[in-house]
Amino acid sequence: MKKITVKMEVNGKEVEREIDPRMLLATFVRDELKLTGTHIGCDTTNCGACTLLLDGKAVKSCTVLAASASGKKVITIEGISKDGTMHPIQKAFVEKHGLQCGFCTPGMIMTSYWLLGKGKKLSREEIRKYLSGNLCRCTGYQGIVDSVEYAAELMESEKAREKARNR
Amino acid sequence: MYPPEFEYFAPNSIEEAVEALSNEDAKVLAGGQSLLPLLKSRFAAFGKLVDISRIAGLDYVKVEDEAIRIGPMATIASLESNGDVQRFQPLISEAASQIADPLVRNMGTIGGNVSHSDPANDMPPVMLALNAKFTAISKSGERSIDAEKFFVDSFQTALDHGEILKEIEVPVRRAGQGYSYMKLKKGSADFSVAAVACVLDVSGKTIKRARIALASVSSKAEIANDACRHIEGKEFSESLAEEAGTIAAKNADPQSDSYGSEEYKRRALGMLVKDSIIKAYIRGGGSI
Repeated sequence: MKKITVKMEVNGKEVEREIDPRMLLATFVRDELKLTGTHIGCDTTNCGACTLLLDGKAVKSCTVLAASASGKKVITIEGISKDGTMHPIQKAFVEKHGLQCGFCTPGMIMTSYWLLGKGKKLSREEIRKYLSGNLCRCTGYQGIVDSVEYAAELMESEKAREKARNR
Repeated sequence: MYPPEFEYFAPNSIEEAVEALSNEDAKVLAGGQSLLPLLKSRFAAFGKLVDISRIAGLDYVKVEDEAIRIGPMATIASLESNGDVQRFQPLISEAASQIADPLVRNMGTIGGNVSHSDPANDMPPVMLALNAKFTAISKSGERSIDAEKFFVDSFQTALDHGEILKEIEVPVRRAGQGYSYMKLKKGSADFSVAAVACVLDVSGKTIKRARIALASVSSKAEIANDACRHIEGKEFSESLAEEAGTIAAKNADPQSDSYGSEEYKRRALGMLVKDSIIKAYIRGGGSI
């Protein structure tokens, strides 16, 4: 089948590749860009391990064609930490035991990154609803919800510190 | 997993899309949340995918002349949170919030949801309950299709080859109109056991008019006609709602599968119909 050219911005960098049009975005970031933090779990739109941000919204990249993402902005788990420092969400997952085997974690964190980026205060119930497309077979979710709650606090205090610095 | 091979085309206009779809083996790709899993699991294959996500201006929501007009590429997430939809036709946002999970709703579109016509999809019963009108466009022009004529069978709509859904129009909620969308499903990614969209026009204690539509319990979404007739023109009571549930459950044609036995599904449907009538009646201003 005829190859097509896709261009997109991934974690702030422009990338361009010739690909088979049936290549999925998850496979594109893993195999073409070697960004293997995005995991493919079920490959059937259930588990959410492949979650990344496409033009600012969290989506399941096993269910998006790389072709459809051409011209758009992608952020993967590799793109949220700055200068080797973990993002507050990543810190929170470590501190609150939001992972055991870690396979679902990139997806959990990317959904949380989208969710907490909205800047709304969320109840535990709402966090659970927003994470309903991300499955974890180890933790029973308690630690994950704790982590997201704690991440919201960390991000809030980081914002407050930044404000104070700029004053 | 890779889908079977296809040629990919992303037109910039609806005219180009319609032209490309005149190819017998071409299929529209909208949000892809149903189509891509089907392709990947080899339940379907097409020679050409026409990705309409690059056509500008197909994702609008407009309120005018007592109607809401929705572009086919409006995402399910946008309908869930759109203030106009919540205010003028909240049944749509109530149903949208129950579709799959937030990540799927970020990509999935209303046009895809109705055009795919999976008997378990949520927007078909909502469109039936609201008497929606669909505008289809092809090379030979546009035509309007009523919701009741649109859903033909499992995965089959009234859209012809070379036709695309261009707009969905639903009337805005009238005074005294109550609504409810209820569904029973196990996990967020599972198909529903049964789902009910209910719209009632209430005056005092009387149910003037009823539109109850069902999903997952037949080969396509459909209006529960006998149940509607049973309650129309009558004074509300809980037992009346229960009778309607029993009638809808008796008439339905659910299949036993991994989500439940036929009997379980009938019982679930009966309860959902009853509860959705009660909720819609209260929202319509009725008192118990």
